Amino acid sequence: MADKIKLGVTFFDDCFGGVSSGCQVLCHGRSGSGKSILACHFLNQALLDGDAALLLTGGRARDTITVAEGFGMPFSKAAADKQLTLLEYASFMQDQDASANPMLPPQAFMDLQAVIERHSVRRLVFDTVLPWVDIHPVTRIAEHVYSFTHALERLGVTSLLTLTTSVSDPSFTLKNRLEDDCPVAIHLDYSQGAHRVAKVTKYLGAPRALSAPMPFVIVPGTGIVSEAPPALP
Amino acid sequence: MGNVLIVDDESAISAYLAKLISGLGHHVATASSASEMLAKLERGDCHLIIADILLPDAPVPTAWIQELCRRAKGKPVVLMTGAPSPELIACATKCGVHAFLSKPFELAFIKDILKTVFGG
Repeated sequence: MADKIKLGVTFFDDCFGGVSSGCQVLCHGRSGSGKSILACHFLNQALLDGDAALLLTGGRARDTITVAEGFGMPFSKAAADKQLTLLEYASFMQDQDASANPMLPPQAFMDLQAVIERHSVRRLVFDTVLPWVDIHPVTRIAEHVYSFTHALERLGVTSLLTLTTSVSDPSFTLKNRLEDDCPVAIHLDYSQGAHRVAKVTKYLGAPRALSAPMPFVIVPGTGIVSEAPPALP
Repeated sequence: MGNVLIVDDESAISAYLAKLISGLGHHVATASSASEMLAKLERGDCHLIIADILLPDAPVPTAWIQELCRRAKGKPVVLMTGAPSPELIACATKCGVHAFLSKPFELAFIKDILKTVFGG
């Protein structure tokens, strides 16, 4: 059985003891639900553990550094020290998408392999995973997602995959396929006037709806923290 | 360096793997059907077989895996498919298949497979 490592979110790690090293964690939810901040915690935990980490972001790398630094995470120094590698889809997957030739591995995946080997990356974040798995026709999604998650497993890195969900059928199909193939799945949600909640819908292959919703808040200077009262000794 | 037989009815995949593997210095032969593959296998000069599970003239996948491994006579077999069922994986394991690669992403690991088979 693989060793466990911390996810980097205290209430999750207290409840589950972390995740298996080398597994894939899906974090899904609506826009603004906190997925990218959870990704920062995941990367920060890698830095705390002395692991090299890599972020592939759909946004701008410098924005991620600014956000993380605001939560007290030393991303700027880690990037300067080459412990943290930040890549942007806009330049990394230029003129490529997963549908270019769905029969063959995308060149970007080989490029990613090379970066992982060069920097001895142990933890990897795709914020978002969409460019790798959003292929047409939709009937190929199952095979594509299966192959992608198994390829990540073969890379030997622990991966966090974020996915913004919407109400469309293709979005649900994609989310469900990723949830099927990733050993761990976390759903983040919020509603106007209500608290944010994290729900672990799958944990190392165990049945879904495993945990009760875990209320959390995003605190300036700290990041994601549990809103639940501290447990009595 | 070794002789590698690639079997896939998708010419794009055969061409991709042939280019990659020959670029590493190995000799490559290709087949696009099960019958063509078995004929080439009979020549006995193949060191590694990389085969798709779903071929137009192949029997049902579990029977095909068993037949392929039997005809390979101990030579390493690497299977390719989309999303394999647990039944197929169990069958491949039982038959001693060297590796199971899901298309498309895991094809990127073919170099690692060649290293384990041929060394270097």
